[in-house]
Amino acid sequence: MKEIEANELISAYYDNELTESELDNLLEMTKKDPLLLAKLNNYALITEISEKDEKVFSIFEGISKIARKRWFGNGLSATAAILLTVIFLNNPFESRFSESDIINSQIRDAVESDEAAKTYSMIEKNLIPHVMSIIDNNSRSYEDDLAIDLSPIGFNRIESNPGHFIRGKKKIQVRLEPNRIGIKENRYWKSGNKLIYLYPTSDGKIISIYGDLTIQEVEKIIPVLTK
Amino acid sequence: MNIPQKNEASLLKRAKNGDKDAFNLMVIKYQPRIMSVLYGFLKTHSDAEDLTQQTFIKAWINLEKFRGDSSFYTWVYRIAINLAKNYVKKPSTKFEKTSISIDEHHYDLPEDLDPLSVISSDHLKTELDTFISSMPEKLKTAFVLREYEGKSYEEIASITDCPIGTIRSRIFRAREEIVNYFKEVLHERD
Repeated sequence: MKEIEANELISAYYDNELTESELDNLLEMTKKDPLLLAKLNNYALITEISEKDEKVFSIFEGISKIARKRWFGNGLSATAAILLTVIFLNNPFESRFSESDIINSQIRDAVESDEAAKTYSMIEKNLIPHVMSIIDNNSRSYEDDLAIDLSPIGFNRIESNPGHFIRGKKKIQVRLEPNRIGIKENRYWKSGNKLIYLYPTSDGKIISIYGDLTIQEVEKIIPVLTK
Repeated sequence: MNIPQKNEASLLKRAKNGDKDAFNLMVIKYQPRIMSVLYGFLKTHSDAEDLTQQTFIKAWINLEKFRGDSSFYTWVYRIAINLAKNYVKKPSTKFEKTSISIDEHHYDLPEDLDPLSVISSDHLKTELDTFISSMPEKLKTAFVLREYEGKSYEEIASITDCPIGTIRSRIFRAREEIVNYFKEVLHERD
Protein backbone atom coordinates (compact mmCIF):
# COMPACT_ATOMS: atom_id res chain seq x y z
CA MET A 1 0.00 0.00 0.00
CA LYS A 2 1.29 3.43 -0.88
CA GLU A 3 2.24 5.74 1.95
CA ILE A 4 -0.45 8.23 1.04
CA GLU A 5 -3.10 5.52 1.23
CA ALA A 6 -1.79 4.41 4.61
CA ASN A 7 -1.98 7.97 5.86
CA GLU A 8 -5.50 8.33 4.56
CA LEU A 9 -6.43 5.23 6.53
CA ILE A 10 -5.03 6.83 9.65
CA SER A 11 -7.06 9.96 9.02
CA ALA A 12 -10.19 7.87 8.59
CA TYR A 13 -9.38 5.87 11.73
CA TYR A 14 -9.09 9.14 13.62
CA ASP A 15 -12.64 9.84 12.53
CA ASN A 16 -13.80 6.36 13.52
CA GLU A 17 -14.70 5.70 9.90
CA LEU A 18 -12.78 2.54 9.07
CA THR A 19 -14.34 -0.75 8.14
CA GLU A 20 -13.19 -3.76 10.13
CA SER A 21 -10.98 -4.96 7.29
CA GLU A 22 -9.41 -1.52 6.96
CA LEU A 23 -8.75 -1.52 10.68
CA ASP A 24 -7.00 -4.87 10.28
CA ASN A 25 -4.88 -3.38 7.52
CA LEU A 26 -4.04 -0.34 9.58
CA LEU A 27 -2.97 -2.44 12.55
CA GLU A 28 -0.76 -4.56 10.33
CA MET A 29 0.82 -1.47 8.83
CA THR A 30 1.47 0.21 12.15
CA LYS A 31 2.99 -2.97 13.53
CA LYS A 32 5.44 -2.99 10.64
CA ASP A 33 6.03 0.75 10.67
CA PRO A 34 5.28 2.43 14.01
CA LEU A 35 6.37 5.77 12.56
CA LEU A 36 3.05 5.87 10.77
CA LEU A 37 1.53 6.59 14.15
CA ALA A 38 3.11 10.03 14.08
CA LYS A 39 0.37 10.96 11.65
CA LEU A 40 -2.27 9.97 14.15
CA ASN A 41 -0.56 12.03 16.82
CA ASN A 42 -0.53 15.01 14.45
CA TYR A 43 -4.20 14.71 13.62
CA ALA A 44 -5.09 14.56 17.30
CA LEU A 45 -3.02 17.69 17.85
CA ILE A 46 -4.96 19.53 15.16
CA THR A 47 -8.09 18.82 17.15
CA GLU A 48 -6.37 20.16 20.25
CA ILE A 49 -5.53 23.36 18.40
CA SER A 50 -9.04 23.69 17.03
CA GLU A 51 -10.44 23.45 20.53
CA LYS A 52 -7.58 25.22 22.21
CA ASP A 53 -9.11 28.54 23.12
CA GLU A 54 -12.35 26.86 24.04
CA LYS A 55 -11.07 24.58 26.71
CA VAL A 56 -10.92 24.92 30.40
CA PHE A 57 -7.20 24.63 30.92
CA SER A 58 -7.36 24.94 34.64
CA ILE A 59 -10.06 24.17 37.09
CA PHE A 60 -7.91 25.39 39.93
CA GLU A 61 -6.89 28.71 38.49
CA GLY A 62 -7.79 31.02 35.70
CA ILE A 63 -11.19 29.57 35.03
CA SER A 64 -13.03 32.73 35.93
CA LYS A 65 -10.89 34.62 33.47
CA ILE A 66 -11.77 32.16 30.73
CA ALA A 67 -15.40 32.33 31.68
CA ARG A 68 -15.45 36.08 31.50
CA LYS A 69 -13.82 35.90 28.12
CA ARG A 70 -16.01 33.23 26.64
CA TRP A 71 -19.37 33.68 28.24
CA PHE A 72 -21.87 36.38 28.25
CA GLY A 73 -25.29 36.61 29.71
CA ASN A 74 -27.44 38.69 31.95
CA GLY A 75 -26.25 38.26 35.47
CA LEU A 76 -23.48 35.76 35.01
CA SER A 77 -22.28 34.72 38.43
CA ALA A 78 -18.90 33.25 39.12
CA THR A 79 -20.42 29.92 40.03
CA ALA A 80 -22.51 29.74 36.94
CA ALA A 81 -19.52 30.82 34.91
CA ILE A 82 -17.49 27.93 36.23
CA LEU A 83 -20.24 25.47 35.66
CA LEU A 84 -21.29 26.66 32.28
CA THR A 85 -17.80 27.15 31.01
CA VAL A 86 -16.98 23.58 31.82
CA ILE A 87 -20.19 22.33 30.34
CA PHE A 88 -20.19 24.17 27.10
CA LEU A 89 -16.65 24.90 26.26
CA ASN A 90 -16.03 21.20 26.15
CA ASN A 91 -18.86 20.59 23.80
CA PRO A 92 -16.55 19.89 20.88
CA PHE A 93 -15.90 16.61 22.68
CA GLU A 94 -19.54 15.87 22.71
CA SER A 95 -20.06 16.68 19.07
CA ARG A 96 -17.15 14.55 18.03
CA PHE A 97 -17.66 11.59 20.28
CA SER A 98 -21.28 11.86 21.36
CA GLU A 99 -20.24 11.33 24.92
CA SER A 100 -22.34 13.39 27.22
CA ASP A 101 -20.79 11.51 30.10
CA ILE A 102 -17.50 13.23 29.37
CA ILE A 103 -19.14 16.55 29.98
CA ASN A 104 -20.93 15.24 33.02
CA SER A 105 -17.73 13.96 34.56
CA GLN A 106 -16.06 17.27 33.85
CA ILE A 107 -18.90 19.11 35.50
CA ARG A 108 -18.62 16.91 38.53
CA ASP A 109 -14.88 17.40 38.65
CA ALA A 110 -15.30 21.14 38.27
CA VAL A 111 -17.96 21.40 40.91
CA GLU A 112 -15.90 19.28 43.26
CA SER A 113 -12.85 21.45 42.72
CA ASP A 114 -11.62 23.75 45.45
CA GLU A 115 -12.41 26.88 43.47
CA ALA A 116 -15.91 25.79 42.69
CA ALA A 117 -16.49 24.74 46.28
CA LYS A 118 -15.45 28.13 47.58
CA THR A 119 -17.61 29.95 45.13
CA TYR A 120 -20.47 27.56 45.49
CA SER A 121 -20.73 28.23 49.17
CA MET A 122 -21.16 31.91 48.52
CA ILE A 123 -23.85 32.30 45.92
CA GLU A 124 -26.69 30.76 44.05
CA LYS A 125 -26.76 27.40 45.72
CA ASN A 126 -30.02 26.48 44.15
CA LEU A 127 -29.23 27.54 40.64
CA ILE A 128 -26.38 25.12 40.11
CA PRO A 129 -28.28 21.88 40.85
CA HIS A 130 -31.09 23.13 38.67
CA VAL A 131 -28.84 23.85 35.71
CA MET A 132 -26.98 20.61 36.27
CA SER A 133 -30.18 18.63 36.20
CA ILE A 134 -30.96 20.17 32.83
CA ILE A 135 -27.52 19.52 31.42
CA ASP A 136 -27.49 16.02 32.87
CA ASN A 137 -30.61 15.44 30.81
CA ASN A 138 -32.29 14.11 33.88
CA SER A 139 -35.04 11.99 32.43
CA ARG A 140 -37.42 11.86 35.37
CA SER A 141 -40.96 12.89 34.61
CA TYR A 142 -41.65 16.48 35.46
CA GLU A 143 -45.02 17.13 36.90
CA ASP A 144 -45.83 19.92 34.51
CA ASP A 145 -44.30 18.50 31.36
CA LEU A 146 -47.61 17.51 29.91
CA ALA A 147 -48.68 21.12 30.09
CA ILE A 148 -46.02 22.05 27.57
CA ASP A 149 -47.32 22.33 24.06
CA LEU A 150 -44.95 23.81 21.54
CA SER A 151 -46.81 22.61 18.48
CA PRO A 152 -47.95 26.18 17.63
CA ILE A 153 -44.33 26.99 16.83
CA GLY A 154 -43.58 23.67 15.17
CA PHE A 155 -41.88 21.73 17.95
CA ASN A 156 -43.13 18.20 18.52
CA ARG A 157 -42.79 16.32 21.79
CA ILE A 158 -40.27 13.45 21.86
CA GLU A 159 -42.44 10.94 23.68
CA SER A 160 -39.57 8.78 24.83
CA ASN A 161 -37.80 11.69 26.44
CA PRO A 162 -39.89 13.87 28.74
CA GLY A 163 -39.35 17.56 28.28
CA HIS A 164 -37.62 17.20 24.93
CA PHE A 165 -38.94 18.62 21.70
CA ILE A 166 -37.89 18.48 18.11
CA ARG A 167 -38.39 20.64 15.07
CA GLY A 168 -36.52 19.39 12.03
CA LYS A 169 -32.99 18.80 13.21
CA LYS A 170 -33.32 21.16 16.13
CA LYS A 171 -33.77 19.48 19.50
CA ILE A 172 -34.47 21.42 22.63
CA GLN A 173 -35.23 20.69 26.24
CA VAL A 174 -38.01 22.60 27.94
CA ARG A 175 -39.06 22.24 31.55
CA LEU A 176 -41.88 23.87 33.41
CA GLU A 177 -41.89 23.34 37.15
CA PRO A 178 -42.34 25.15 40.45
CA ASN A 179 -39.77 27.89 40.92
CA ARG A 180 -37.84 26.28 43.74
CA ILE A 181 -34.65 28.08 42.86
CA GLY A 182 -36.26 31.40 43.62
CA ILE A 183 -34.98 33.52 40.78
CA LYS A 184 -37.04 36.62 40.14
CA GLU A 185 -35.80 37.66 36.72
CA ASN A 186 -35.07 35.81 33.55
CA ARG A 187 -31.51 34.55 33.28
CA TYR A 188 -29.61 33.22 30.33
CA TRP A 189 -26.16 32.10 29.36
CA LYS A 190 -24.96 31.62 25.88
CA SER A 191 -21.84 30.36 24.18
CA GLY A 192 -21.69 29.53 20.52
CA ASN A 193 -24.98 27.95 19.57
CA LYS A 194 -25.82 26.76 23.06
CA LEU A 195 -28.22 28.63 25.23
CA ILE A 196 -29.70 28.07 28.66
CA TYR A 197 -32.64 30.32 29.40
CA LEU A 198 -34.48 30.43 32.72
CA TYR A 199 -37.75 32.33 32.88
CA PRO A 200 -39.71 32.73 36.12
CA THR A 201 -43.43 32.98 35.46
CA SER A 202 -45.83 35.19 37.36
CA ASP A 203 -47.61 32.13 38.83
CA GLY A 204 -44.57 30.82 40.69
CA LYS A 205 -43.13 28.47 38.12
CA ILE A 206 -39.93 28.47 36.18
CA ILE A 207 -39.46 27.69 32.52
CA SER A 208 -36.06 26.26 31.62
CA ILE A 209 -35.08 26.09 27.97
CA TYR A 210 -31.88 24.54 26.74
CA GLY A 211 -30.53 23.83 23.30
CA ASP A 212 -29.13 25.25 20.09
CA LEU A 213 -31.23 28.37 20.22
CA THR A 214 -31.01 32.09 19.82
CA ILE A 215 -32.51 34.58 22.24
CA GLN A 216 -34.94 35.53 19.48
CA GLU A 217 -36.15 31.95 19.18
CA VAL A 218 -36.60 31.70 22.93
CA GLU A 219 -38.60 34.88 22.88
CA LYS A 220 -41.01 33.13 20.55
CA ILE A 221 -41.22 30.07 22.78
CA ILE A 222 -41.89 31.87 26.06
CA PRO A 223 -45.23 33.43 25.02
CA VAL A 224 -46.50 30.03 23.89
CA LEU A 225 -45.77 28.63 27.34
CA THR A 226 -47.14 31.51 29.34
CA LYS A 227 -50.33 32.33 27.54
CA MET B 1 -21.16 -2.07 0.89
CA ASN B 2 -18.58 -1.75 3.61
CA ILE B 3 -20.15 -0.12 6.61
CA PRO B 4 -17.78 1.61 9.00
CA GLN B 5 -17.57 -0.31 12.24
CA LYS B 6 -17.15 0.95 15.71
CA ASN B 7 -13.39 1.09 15.51
CA GLU B 8 -12.98 1.71 19.20
CA ALA B 9 -15.07 -1.27 20.28
CA SER B 10 -13.09 -3.49 17.99
CA LEU B 11 -9.76 -2.16 19.23
CA LEU B 12 -10.85 -2.54 22.85
CA LYS B 13 -11.78 -6.14 22.28
CA ARG B 14 -8.39 -6.79 20.75
CA ALA B 15 -6.60 -4.88 23.50
CA LYS B 16 -8.40 -6.87 26.19
CA ASN B 17 -7.04 -9.97 24.51
CA GLY B 18 -3.56 -8.57 24.98
CA ASP B 19 -3.02 -6.82 21.67
CA LYS B 20 -0.81 -3.90 22.68
CA ASP B 21 -0.74 -2.52 19.15
CA ALA B 22 -4.50 -2.13 19.22
CA PHE B 23 -4.26 -0.41 22.58
CA ASN B 24 -1.47 1.79 21.29
CA LEU B 25 -3.66 2.99 18.46
CA MET B 26 -6.18 4.27 21.00
CA VAL B 27 -3.48 5.74 23.23
CA ILE B 28 -2.06 7.85 20.43
CA LYS B 29 -5.48 9.07 19.41
CA TYR B 30 -6.28 10.36 22.88
CA GLN B 31 -2.86 11.20 24.24
CA PRO B 32 -2.80 14.87 23.21
CA ARG B 33 -6.21 15.46 24.73
CA ILE B 34 -5.26 13.82 28.01
CA MET B 35 -1.98 15.69 28.07
CA SER B 36 -3.82 18.94 27.49
CA VAL B 37 -6.18 18.24 30.38
CA LEU B 38 -3.28 17.37 32.65
CA TYR B 39 -1.27 20.38 31.58
CA GLY B 40 -4.25 22.47 32.61
CA PHE B 41 -4.12 20.97 36.07
CA LEU B 42 -0.42 20.81 36.58
CA LYS B 43 0.99 23.68 34.55
CA THR B 44 4.32 22.04 33.88
CA HIS B 45 5.33 20.10 30.82
CA SER B 46 7.20 17.42 32.70
CA ASP B 47 4.38 16.71 35.14
CA ALA B 48 1.82 16.62 32.34
CA GLU B 49 4.03 14.25 30.40
CA ASP B 50 4.67 12.01 33.40
CA LEU B 51 1.04 11.78 34.37
CA THR B 52 -0.06 11.20 30.79
CA GLN B 53 2.28 8.26 30.69
CA GLN B 54 1.00 7.04 34.06
CA THR B 55 -2.58 7.44 32.91
CA PHE B 56 -2.20 5.13 29.96
CA ILE B 57 -0.10 2.65 31.87
CA LYS B 58 -2.80 2.50 34.51
CA ALA B 59 -5.40 2.12 31.79
CA TRP B 60 -3.51 -0.77 30.24
CA ILE B 61 -3.02 -2.51 33.57
CA ASN B 62 -6.68 -2.09 34.49
CA LEU B 63 -8.16 -2.64 31.07
CA GLU B 64 -9.88 -5.82 32.19
CA LYS B 65 -11.88 -3.76 34.68
CA PHE B 66 -13.17 -1.45 31.97
CA ARG B 67 -16.73 -2.59 31.43
CA GLY B 68 -17.60 -0.25 28.61
CA ASP B 69 -20.27 1.64 30.56
CA SER B 70 -18.66 4.82 29.31
CA SER B 71 -16.46 5.46 26.32
CA PHE B 72 -12.79 4.59 26.52
CA TYR B 73 -11.88 8.26 26.48
CA THR B 74 -14.17 9.02 29.42
CA TRP B 75 -12.67 6.19 31.39
CA VAL B 76 -9.13 7.30 30.65
CA TYR B 77 -10.07 10.90 31.36
CA ARG B 78 -11.25 9.91 34.84
CA ILE B 79 -8.04 8.03 35.48
CA ALA B 80 -6.09 11.13 34.44
CA ILE B 81 -8.17 13.47 36.58
CA ASN B 82 -7.83 11.22 39.61
CA LEU B 83 -4.09 11.01 39.13
CA ALA B 84 -3.91 14.78 38.79
CA LYS B 85 -6.02 15.37 41.88
CA ASN B 86 -3.88 13.02 43.90
CA TYR B 87 -0.78 14.66 42.57
CA VAL B 88 -2.00 18.15 43.42
CA LYS B 89 -2.86 17.01 46.94
CA LYS B 90 0.30 15.02 47.37
CA PRO B 91 3.03 15.87 44.87
CA SER B 92 5.13 12.93 46.02
CA THR B 93 2.73 10.65 44.13
CA LYS B 94 4.56 11.67 40.96
CA PHE B 95 7.23 9.20 41.93
CA GLU B 96 4.81 6.32 41.94
CA LYS B 97 5.63 6.08 38.29
CA THR B 98 8.93 4.44 39.14
CA SER B 99 7.13 1.50 40.72
CA ILE B 100 5.66 0.62 37.34
CA SER B 101 7.78 -1.09 34.81
CA ILE B 102 7.94 1.38 31.98
CA ASP B 103 9.82 -1.11 29.87
CA GLU B 104 6.95 -3.50 30.15
CA HIS B 105 4.37 -0.92 29.18
CA HIS B 106 6.17 1.40 26.88
CA TYR B 107 4.11 3.99 25.08
CA ASP B 108 6.61 6.48 23.81
CA LEU B 109 5.23 7.93 20.67
CA PRO B 110 6.73 9.00 17.43
CA GLU B 111 6.20 12.71 17.18
CA ASP B 112 6.07 15.04 14.25
CA LEU B 113 4.36 17.96 15.88
CA ASP B 114 5.45 18.34 19.46
CA PRO B 115 2.40 17.90 21.72
CA LEU B 116 3.80 20.08 24.46
CA SER B 117 4.53 22.93 22.06
CA VAL B 118 1.02 22.73 20.71
CA ILE B 119 -0.65 22.46 24.08
CA SER B 120 1.24 25.32 25.66
CA SER B 121 1.46 27.70 22.70
CA ASP B 122 -0.84 30.69 22.46
CA HIS B 123 -2.73 31.92 19.46
CA LEU B 124 -2.54 28.66 17.50
CA LYS B 125 -6.31 28.56 17.22
CA THR B 126 -6.33 31.92 15.48
CA GLU B 127 -3.60 30.75 13.16
CA LEU B 128 -5.50 27.57 12.45
CA ASP B 129 -8.69 29.47 11.67
CA THR B 130 -6.80 31.83 9.38
CA PHE B 131 -5.11 28.97 7.59
CA ILE B 132 -8.34 27.03 7.17
CA SER B 133 -10.01 30.05 5.65
CA SER B 134 -7.26 30.16 3.03
CA MET B 135 -7.62 26.51 2.07
CA PRO B 136 -9.30 25.38 -1.16
CA GLU B 137 -13.06 25.47 -0.72
CA LYS B 138 -13.62 21.73 -1.12
CA LEU B 139 -10.99 20.78 1.44
CA LYS B 140 -12.14 23.46 3.83
CA THR B 141 -15.77 22.40 3.66
CA ALA B 142 -15.05 18.72 4.23
CA PHE B 143 -12.66 19.44 7.10
CA VAL B 144 -14.87 21.95 8.87
CA LEU B 145 -17.92 19.72 8.64
CA ARG B 146 -15.94 16.88 10.16
CA GLU B 147 -13.72 18.57 12.69
CA TYR B 148 -15.93 21.40 13.85
CA GLU B 149 -19.42 20.10 13.17
CA GLY B 150 -18.74 16.46 14.01
CA LYS B 151 -20.50 15.19 10.90
CA SER B 152 -19.92 11.64 9.72
CA TYR B 153 -18.38 11.01 6.33
CA GLU B 154 -21.76 9.84 5.12
CA GLU B 155 -23.42 13.04 6.24
CA ILE B 156 -20.72 15.17 4.64
CA ALA B 157 -21.03 13.18 1.42
CA SER B 158 -24.74 13.83 1.45
CA ILE B 159 -24.35 17.54 2.19
CA THR B 160 -21.74 18.08 -0.50
CA ASP B 161 -23.17 15.57 -2.95
CA CYS B 162 -19.84 13.76 -3.26
CA PRO B 163 -18.83 10.12 -2.86
CA ILE B 164 -17.71 9.12 0.63
CA GLY B 165 -14.28 8.19 -0.71
CA THR B 166 -13.82 11.71 -2.03
CA ILE B 167 -14.78 13.16 1.33
CA ARG B 168 -12.37 10.88 3.12
CA SER B 169 -9.61 11.96 0.77
CA ARG B 170 -10.41 15.65 1.15
CA ILE B 171 -10.40 15.48 4.93
CA PHE B 172 -7.08 13.68 4.84
CA ARG B 173 -5.58 16.24 2.44
CA ALA B 174 -6.88 19.11 4.57
CA ARG B 175 -5.26 17.57 7.64
CA GLU B 176 -1.98 17.14 5.81
CA GLU B 177 -1.96 20.77 4.72
CA ILE B 178 -2.70 21.91 8.26
CA VAL B 179 -0.04 19.67 9.79
CA ASN B 180 2.56 20.92 7.32
CA TYR B 181 1.58 24.49 8.05
CA PHE B 182 1.95 24.04 11.79
CA LYS B 183 5.24 22.25 11.43
CA GLU B 184 6.53 25.42 9.82
CA VAL B 185 4.88 27.70 12.37
CA LEU B 186 6.23 25.80 15.36
CA HIS B 187 9.62 25.36 13.75
CA GLU B 188 9.89 29.13 13.25
CA ARG B 189 8.97 29.69 16.89
CA ASP B 190 11.73 27.34 18.00
